[in-house]
Formats: sequence, structure tokens, C-alpha cells
Amino acid sequence: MKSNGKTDRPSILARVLQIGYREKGAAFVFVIPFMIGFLIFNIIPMVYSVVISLMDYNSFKPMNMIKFIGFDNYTRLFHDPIALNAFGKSFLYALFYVPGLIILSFLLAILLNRTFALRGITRTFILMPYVANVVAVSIVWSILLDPFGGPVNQIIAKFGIEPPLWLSGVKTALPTIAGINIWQSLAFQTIVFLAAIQGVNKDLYEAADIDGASRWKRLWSITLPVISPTTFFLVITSIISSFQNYASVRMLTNGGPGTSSRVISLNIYEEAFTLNHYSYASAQAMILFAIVLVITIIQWKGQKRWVHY
Amino acid sequence: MGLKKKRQAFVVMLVSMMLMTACGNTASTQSDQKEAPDKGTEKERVVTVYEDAKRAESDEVKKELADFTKETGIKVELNIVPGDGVEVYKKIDIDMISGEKTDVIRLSNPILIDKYGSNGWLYPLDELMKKENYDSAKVFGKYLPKFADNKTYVLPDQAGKWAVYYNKKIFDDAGVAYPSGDWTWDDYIATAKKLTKADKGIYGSYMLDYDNYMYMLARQYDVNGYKEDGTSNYDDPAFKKALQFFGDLGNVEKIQPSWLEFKSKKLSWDGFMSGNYGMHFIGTWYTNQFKDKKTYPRDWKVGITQIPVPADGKGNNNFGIVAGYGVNKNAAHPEEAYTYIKWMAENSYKYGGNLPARVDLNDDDIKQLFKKTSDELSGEITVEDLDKALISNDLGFVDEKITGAGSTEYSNIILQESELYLVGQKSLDDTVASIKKRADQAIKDAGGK
Repeated sequence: MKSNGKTDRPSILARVLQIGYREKGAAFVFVIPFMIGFLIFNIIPMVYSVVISLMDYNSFKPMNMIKFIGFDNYTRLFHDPIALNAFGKSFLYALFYVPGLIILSFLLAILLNRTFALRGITRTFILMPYVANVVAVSIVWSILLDPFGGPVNQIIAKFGIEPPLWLSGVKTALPTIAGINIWQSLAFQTIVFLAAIQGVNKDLYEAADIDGASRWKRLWSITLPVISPTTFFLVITSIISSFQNYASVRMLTNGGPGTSSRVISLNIYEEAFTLNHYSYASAQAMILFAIVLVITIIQWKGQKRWVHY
Repeated sequence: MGLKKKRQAFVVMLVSMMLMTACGNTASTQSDQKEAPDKGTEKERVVTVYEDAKRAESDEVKKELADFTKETGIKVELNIVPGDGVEVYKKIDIDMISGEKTDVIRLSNPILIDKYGSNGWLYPLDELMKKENYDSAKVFGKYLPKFADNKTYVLPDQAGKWAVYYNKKIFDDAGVAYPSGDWTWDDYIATAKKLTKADKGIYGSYMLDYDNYMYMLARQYDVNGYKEDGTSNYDDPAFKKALQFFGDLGNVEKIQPSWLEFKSKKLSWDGFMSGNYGMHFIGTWYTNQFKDKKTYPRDWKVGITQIPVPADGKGNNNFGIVAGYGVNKNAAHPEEAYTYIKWMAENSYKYGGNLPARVDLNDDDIKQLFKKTSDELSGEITVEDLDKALISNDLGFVDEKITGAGSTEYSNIILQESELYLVGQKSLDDTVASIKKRADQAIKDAGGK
């Protein structure tokens, strides 16, 4: 006997209830809390920020007095020396921070991969700056680098060298902040590199030894190519984080002296919350987003040349 | 049902329950929030007030609020904003835009009074005052903040002046006589030099990193920050002279920490309380720090004298600011809020030790205030000292801040550019030219000329 199609077909409610029992359905249920959070806390604010950037919300007035002004906030940016300077400072900061961080963490990972006494405790100590609070870190470094009798400058002066102004110098403030941030972020990058180095097949090194390869040749021709996907990941994430740097700049110099360490994230914050230039700050944030996106796409496209999967 | 399916079903149920629980909680919270005002209006009168974390903890504020409630029967609920100083207004700004209903906002300087009052965030008080025939002009006179639409949005609670506080121990140790007032900046520098003992970490003078220090001399000459056409007046030679004067105190005269040292060592607004400085040039709001021996235990006594003036006799002015209270235009309890700000404007000087903004007080009222301050300081500063430093002298009074179109931006520009001069990275002429150029643009962007 043929069954009636209508009576066999489960109701919508029953089908919805069944979703969770299917593999794809279960995955959806797992993902949905994240998606809701992502939508509320990321997507909607981003869309809101785009809308705000097209308005004249550049003074402390009620929302009902705001009107659309198109791309004026974007064009204004190209005539604003402070904002352009802030973008320039962020690029400069990235130039100090990213290569410094990648090179130092790689070298440290190479060292930590060796067998030596107290290796476990050394690895633990290296991790400590990473878990330290940025405010505490800033206070400690401010004291250490105090140009007026700070311990670092006292030591330098003993060697007869004119000590730098560090965080108080127009030319030294930004590199000093980059150095402090490298010191703090070093642990994470080192651990990731260490894991990647430990994952390199030992047979490759043995084969290279038999062929008489030097230590440098092994590093250049085996280690670096094999860990290149990890290096690629770390370069992308550190570039993004370098452009987002705000807290340490705020705590260490607050953008000074003058505007010599005023990076774009700090500028956006000041424009929005000190000067109530919400639209202009949003436009700057959108430009920053576009710059980071373009840099990431360029890296993604360029990875074929040096990343080996 | 297989074990795998049972496990899946369990996980799905768990996630659903978590989501429902979260939604359920939100709903009940909203419901509670909706009920709260009804309960409040039925049972008791309430006023909600923004307060910064530091002030909210102070004994004076606690006593002030308790006395207000005792007198009016209105319960005060504080909306405490983390931080202190002008930092708290960053959150309050966002709250205003979001339609927050907290009733009362304390506005601690004229820039903030202008910003909140002129941009339509405050409730006009005229109708409420008219209802009870309250003549605010008679009570507060010249200190009553004025707005373009001629409405009253703010009642002032203090009209602070500036003074020089000095550490008597440092004077005694150096064998220098205490300043007796009626003195010039040259006298101030000469005195501070005698007190400075660099090897012992003692400076004769201490000043902060506020914008108005950069142009205090110009304000003493009563030179305005804006020209008559509304553009920046920073190209007036008085501003150049004022910035050079302030920079020289640290860099040339070396009587106080240079800007570089102040910033590098992250010296703070209450640094004078450390006991390492001979004199501190600051507003009278600072008197409270000397009363607070729990936070600032000290083995030295404090004195007060009037501010120095330029030697040419053309700038014989003290300066200061008016601070006050406004009612949020979205206030949930506007009438209670009005009662609160009126009470605070009339009475808060009795608690904090600030000079009142009331012009209806007589000499005895002021003497009584000074007597209270003197008693709280165990006689370290006498009634006569306070009177001579702040009232009975030949000094005029000018506004401490530059207020007008784009004044927040103006203030930030002055600080940013002046810093480059103070640390030796920019010439004086280039600095004032940059300030003038950027301030003109900021004024234009803010809708000025």
C-alpha cells in the first residue's frame, strides 16, 4: 500500500526539532551563539560606524540634528596634518615592531629549542611579560627608562655615553614603545615558533648532515621553508596588532611629546571621545580598516613566493 | 536512540537551555528596571547623580549628600563613573547621546558648562525657578553661567580662585621668610631659587601640566584667547611671552621640574603633598588635600598667600573658574534634580572648602567659611591668611580658561604644540604660529569664524 505523502511528511516544528540531531544541524546549533555575538558586537557596530562616517556627527549634539554629508569626513582626512601624521606614525611603528618581533622571537625559539640547564624555568620566565598587565608594564618601563636618574640611563652614563631620552624624546619615543611591546609580545611568538621548529621532521636534518650541510644552510634551506606557514601567520597577526596598538601608547606617552608617538588608534580615540568628532573618527577607523585589509590581501597573494605548505 | 544521538540531543538541549536562560534573565532585568521608577515615585523621592569615583568616596561628599537627604527628604542615588577629573565626561558624553536618564551632571569647569549647556543636553531651569520665584541672578550674580538663548541651564556652586600654597618646613629649613603677599613673579622666582636644593630633590616651586599654565601670564593681563572676529588670538605677543615664561621656570630658572622631568617621572596633580616642593601655584579647590591627613600624612605645615603678579603692574589679576550643576534634559526626576542642584549651589561651599559662587553672602558668611577651613586645618592657615590671599587684596578677577567655539580642541592644541617647545623640539615662534593656525581651523570646524 502506498503511503499518503501528506501524512508522512513531518511538520515544520518537528523538522526544526530534528535539526539538532543531524550532524550539520548540530554544527549550526554550536555555531549560532558565536554568530549572534559576532553579529551584535562586530557586524552591527561596523555597519553603524560606516553609516556614522558619512554623517556630520562631529560635535556634541543630539542624534536628531545629524545629517548625511557623504564622503566629506574622508576627504577632510587628507587635509588634516595630525591624522596623516598619525597614520604615518602607525606605519613607522609597524616597521619597528613587526620585523623586530619576528626576528627576535625566531632567534629565541632557536635558542630555547636547544638542550641546556634550567630550560623549563627559562621558558617560564620568558612567558612572564606576556601575562603581565599593560599598565604595570608601562609603569615599570617608565621608571627604568626615566631620563632623570633612571637605572638604565645611569648604567649608560657610566660608559661615558650620552643617554637617550627614551619615551620623552621626539625621535626615540616611538621606537622605545615598539621595543617595550616587542618585549611583552615576544613570549607568544616564541612559543608558536618553538612549536613549529619542534615539528620539523628530524630526518631532513639527518639527511642534510650526511650531505655535509652547514648549520646556516640547514637553517636557511630546511627550518625556514618548513616553518614558513607559521611565519606567515605570525607576520599577518603582528602587522594587524601593530596597527591596533593603543593601550601601551596611551600609558607610556599618550602620543607625546607633542604628536611624535600619536599613532592612528590613539588619534581615533581622541577624536571620538575627547573632541566628540564621532563621524570623523569613524571615517579614520574605516580608512585604517581598509589599509589593514589591503596589506593583508597583498601578503596573502604574495605568500606563494615564500610560504611552503 | 544510539549513544551518539543521545549525546547530540543532550548538547542541543543544553545550548537551548543556556540561550533561554540568558534571554529569561534579560527579560526579568528589564522588567525590574521598569518597575523601579514607579516604586520610587510612589514611596520616596529620588534623584540620581553622576559622580566620579574619587569624589564619591570622600567624606565631605558623603556628608553633603546625607545632609541634603535629611533636609529635603530626597534620596540620592549615585551613578559612579570610574576615574576622576575630566576623564569621566567621556563616559557621560556617550551616556547623553544614548538617552541616559541620570538626573544631575556636575560640570567642573567653564568649558564643560559651555559644552553641555550650548549643545542642548541640559534641562532649562527657568520654569522651575519661576514656579517658586527663585531669583538666580540675585543669588549668583556675575557667576551665573550665561547662554546664547538667554536660558538658565546651570547653577554654579563654586567660583574658585588661585593662590600660592607653601610648605613652611621647607621655608624654615632654608631660613627664608614666609611670603607675605603683594609680590611679583620676580619675587616668586627669587624665593623659589632660595628654596631649591637639587641635591636633596627639593624644588622651590611646583606647577602642573594643565593648559592654562601655558598662558597664565596672558590671562593675568586679561588677554582674550579669541579675537573680536572669533578667530584665535594666540598670535598676540602676550601668549608667546606667557609660554616662554612658563617654560623658563623649569628649563632656565630651574626652580621647578621641567616639563620633560614632569612627564618622564609622571609627576601627579597632588605631587605637592609629597613634601618635596616649597610652593604650589594652584586653585583653591586644592585646600581639601591638606585636610585629608589619611591620604596625605605629613609632618609639615601649610601656608597660603596671594598669587604673584607681573612687575609692570598691568596684570594685577587673580583668575579662577566657575563650576556648577546642570540637570540632564532626559532626567527621570527633573523636579528633584532642580531641588538638588539648587541646594548644592547654595550649600556645597560649606563642605568642600571652595569659594562659593554666591554674591548674596555677606562678609560674615565668608569669614565663617574661612573659620571652618582654618579649624579643619588646626589653625595652620588662619582666617586672615585666607582673607588676604583671596578676598582683601588689590587683585582683579579674570577667567582662568579660554572658552568659546571649539574650546576643547583649542585646549588640546595648546597642550600638544606647547609641549614641543617645552622639551626643546620646536622654536617659540613656530609653536605659537602652529597653535594659531590649528586653533583657527578648529574654531572654524566648530562653527565659529
